Amino acid sequence: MAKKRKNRFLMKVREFWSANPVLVNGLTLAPVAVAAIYLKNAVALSLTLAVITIPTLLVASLIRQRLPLAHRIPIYAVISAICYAGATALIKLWLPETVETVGIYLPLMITNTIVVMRAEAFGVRNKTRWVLLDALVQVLGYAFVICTVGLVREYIGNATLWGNPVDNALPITGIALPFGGLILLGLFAALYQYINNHAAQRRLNAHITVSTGDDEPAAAQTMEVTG
Amino acid sequence: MNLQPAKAPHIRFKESVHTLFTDVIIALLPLYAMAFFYYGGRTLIMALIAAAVCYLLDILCRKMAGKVIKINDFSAVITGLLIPLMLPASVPYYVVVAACAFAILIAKHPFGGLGYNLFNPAAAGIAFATACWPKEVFRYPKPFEQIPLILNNPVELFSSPAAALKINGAPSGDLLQFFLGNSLGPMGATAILVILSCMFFLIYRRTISWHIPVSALAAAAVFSLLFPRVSISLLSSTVYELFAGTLVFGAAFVATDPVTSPSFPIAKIIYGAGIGLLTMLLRWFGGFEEGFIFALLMMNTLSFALDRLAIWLRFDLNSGRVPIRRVKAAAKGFMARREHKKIYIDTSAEPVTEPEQQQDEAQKEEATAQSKGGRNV
Repeated sequence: MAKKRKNRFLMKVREFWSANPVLVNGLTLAPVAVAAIYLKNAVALSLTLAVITIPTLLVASLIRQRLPLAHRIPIYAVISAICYAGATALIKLWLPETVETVGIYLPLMITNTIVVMRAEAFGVRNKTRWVLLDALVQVLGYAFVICTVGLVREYIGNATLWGNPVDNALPITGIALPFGGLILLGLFAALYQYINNHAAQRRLNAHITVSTGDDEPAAAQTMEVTG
Repeated sequence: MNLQPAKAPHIRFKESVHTLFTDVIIALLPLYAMAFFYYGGRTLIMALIAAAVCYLLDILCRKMAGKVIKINDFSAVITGLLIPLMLPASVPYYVVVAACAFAILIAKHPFGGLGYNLFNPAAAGIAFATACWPKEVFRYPKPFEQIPLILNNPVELFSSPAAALKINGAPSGDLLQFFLGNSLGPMGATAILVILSCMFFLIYRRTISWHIPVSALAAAAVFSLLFPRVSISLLSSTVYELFAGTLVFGAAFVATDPVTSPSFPIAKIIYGAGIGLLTMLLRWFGGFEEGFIFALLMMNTLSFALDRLAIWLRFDLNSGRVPIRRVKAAAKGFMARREHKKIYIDTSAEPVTEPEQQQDEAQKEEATAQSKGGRNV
């Protein structure tokens, strides 16, 4: 029993990579593509997401399916809005300069899709501790992607890091525009797929070399699996 | 006797994609000659850099994708030759390199390479350069000014007639010099007469069809006749609207790319008209002085839909005639369906078995929502 629980815990933690909210499920893309032009913005957005998502998913796991679907979703929005008040207070305290540069995307986090999707897909039919773990993993996965994108865009587009100027011979300002963010996100997702495919192929190769000692069919099989 | 009967099209000359590429490259050479005449050797260096960067990156991408590497595939070279012609001769080399890299690495190969790209690579590269370095792209040197090969002491730059039109001012200068290209503008897009003769060469060789350039220019002309931006005579304002900026060059060389444009004649005409109209609208309401590139990229997304429209209408691929009867029948059917819907809505006021149905539907919806919700567990 304990082993099963441990396995489930590991599976859940691995969803940081395998069920990443941005790279796999495509949730809450707009702040990543538009507002994450500086690392500070990205940190502020992930902080807001954490403050909003974790309590909302907690409430979702407590409500479960006692209420019909049409009543649950507005309740999530209301709870998110209440949590957003706390999030703005935190951000005004710690990162006051991001409030203007992020703009409308801070309050838009109230209706982010991660809350609704995870609450309905996982929150309403699992125990509270698993839901809390799931929320934490999702928030961390989102923070990983948005902070990477924000870092790259700040370095390439603005030649600064966390507001400090750094050496960059040729700042490409286009990457700070929304189209640059979307293209960068697309390249990031492609890199993700490449890494996944590579790992799967290597695992399959290892498996088959152990069992039969033949490499070429493994490659052909992997092409079918991943392609 | 040993007879070997050949199959039906008895054409001796073997025409292929390479013929098309070679034709376009031949048609671009006079434009480079004009650019060399006006701006000196820097233009040729820009062309060499752009063509080399595009060609090498194309080969690199093919290798990365695991495709067959074709040494004689010159489609990337055409992209590379088109990009500098839409930029000023004084633009720094890194802008050219960045535009070429964007064209091949982002706009062409992630979509599947030659034959599959959704957006025109050259147009995407220019759009990227425009968005990133508008100051460098929209400031032009004067013709007959020798530009140093490496810009240590920058030459004096001016804004083009298109910028004058943008702020509702009339461009000054002789109209003949304007047609010969002796005016401020992108290094390949100002010599209108040369561009038009190259376009006729390509149309005569059937490398491009007349539909797209003619409809694009006609739509832009009609729009500027109806809504002139400057208070000079209507005819000369229309001439300036058409020939200042990259509209003619783009309509002749960029918009007619066989991959990203539709293939049916009527679809081509709608596509061209859309490009002309959107270009004028972007010049009126857009942030930049020139909107052709963005108009082209917008219409690129519609080219497949326009082809499907043409197939739905069953236009003859060769003659391009409109089958009036079929259009009438389709319109009749559409109206009939609308009438049917109206009747249906009117009669539904009297409920027969509605409550039960609604309940069933609601239950179904909930069930599907639940099953959908359970998908990611």
